Amino acid sequence: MNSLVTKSVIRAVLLILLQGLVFRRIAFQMGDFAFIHLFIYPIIILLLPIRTPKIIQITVAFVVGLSIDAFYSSYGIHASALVFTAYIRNFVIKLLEPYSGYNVDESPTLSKLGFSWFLSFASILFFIHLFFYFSVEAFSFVFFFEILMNTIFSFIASILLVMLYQLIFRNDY
Amino acid sequence: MKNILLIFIKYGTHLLFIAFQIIFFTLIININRVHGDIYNNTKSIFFENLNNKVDQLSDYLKLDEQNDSLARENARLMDVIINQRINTPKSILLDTLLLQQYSFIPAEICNKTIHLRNNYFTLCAGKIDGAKPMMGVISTEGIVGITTKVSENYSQVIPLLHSQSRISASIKGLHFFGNLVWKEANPRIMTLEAVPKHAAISIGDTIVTSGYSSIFPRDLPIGTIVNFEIAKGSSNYVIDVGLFNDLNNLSYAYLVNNKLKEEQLNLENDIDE
Repeated sequence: MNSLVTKSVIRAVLLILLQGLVFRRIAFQMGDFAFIHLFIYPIIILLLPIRTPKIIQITVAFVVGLSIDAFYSSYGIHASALVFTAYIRNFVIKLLEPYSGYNVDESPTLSKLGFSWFLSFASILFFIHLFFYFSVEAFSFVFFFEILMNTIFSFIASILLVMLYQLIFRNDY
Repeated sequence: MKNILLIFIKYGTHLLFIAFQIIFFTLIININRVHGDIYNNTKSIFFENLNNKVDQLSDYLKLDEQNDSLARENARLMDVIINQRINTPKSILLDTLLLQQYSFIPAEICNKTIHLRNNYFTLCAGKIDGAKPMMGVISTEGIVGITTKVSENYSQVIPLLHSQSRISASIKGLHFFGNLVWKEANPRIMTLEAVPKHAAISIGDTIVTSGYSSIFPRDLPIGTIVNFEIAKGSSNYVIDVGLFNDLNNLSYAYLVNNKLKEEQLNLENDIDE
């Protein structure tokens, strides 16, 4: 149990630094197209152990979100989206529950729960997270087209990145 | 107390979530400038709408009261007007400032055309009432035209809406002046020409009479600038002026009697010679 907490904290710190220092600077541009942004940090919330109390998930999301915001100097936008993601994570987990149930002490990783389960889990939460994030960033549905384009393209790029990350670090990191 | 604690334990996550989102919302609109602007705009649009609705409602509720007071006011004015018609001749001195240089003769419009290229108005006021050729004709909201022919009881007016009508007009607050002519088919739009292009004008500026002719007093409002451009190779603006008064919907006008007109004309003719 203790090692799980340590692991989660180390993973969170490393991913925040990765997002803030590396992925923040990467924005693919194709012609007039700057819709692709890479997001990895929601995986911190996604990979919390399944039985983590909701209240702690939300608090972790608050802290992580604000640290990401500090890098992006966009106070509250990432945090707002991440808290929302953390808030709905348990619903999604319940929705996708396999017949055999979960081992509640573990993180819901690709190696534990299989490729297709993890893909659908990550897809749902990433899509919602990105849509929420870009909506809050635009702050008005006047920009609905931009929001949608940003969400779709960033979603594709980010989900590839996340699956890659899960395939590389198979041992529960 | 215990119940409140229980509520917190039971719904704590949801409450915390809502509390966090409220904190973020405040943060976002207070620190991020763009978001703050969007928020303030949306808020003001929303509240303006709300205020307008409330105003409309309260106006509507006050209609009865206003009707009563207007009816009373009308009755009082009728009284005054009828008494005055009996006691005084038709021309009334309205202008007291300019040594009563101008007096105004009220006249009803008895005939008019609007949709031709050269329109004419006929006023039910002639020599008997003091009308003369080359007098200005104005309404309460703007100017109408200039008289040309006068008979005993009627006078003919070349209104603004005539291809030959030319009114000296200037932009309020500036001393640039130009000719107001009617070029378009639209009876609400006139064209102001010959204003030099270094004049600082903008859409919405008021156009007034210049007073440089002996026909109209100065600073009578005519209309507002709705559009302007500089023709290629020209040093003057072409300004579209939206008229204040709708000549189509006009039944009453005033003839402008400039008492010092002859003096001015005599002097100017002297200089010519």
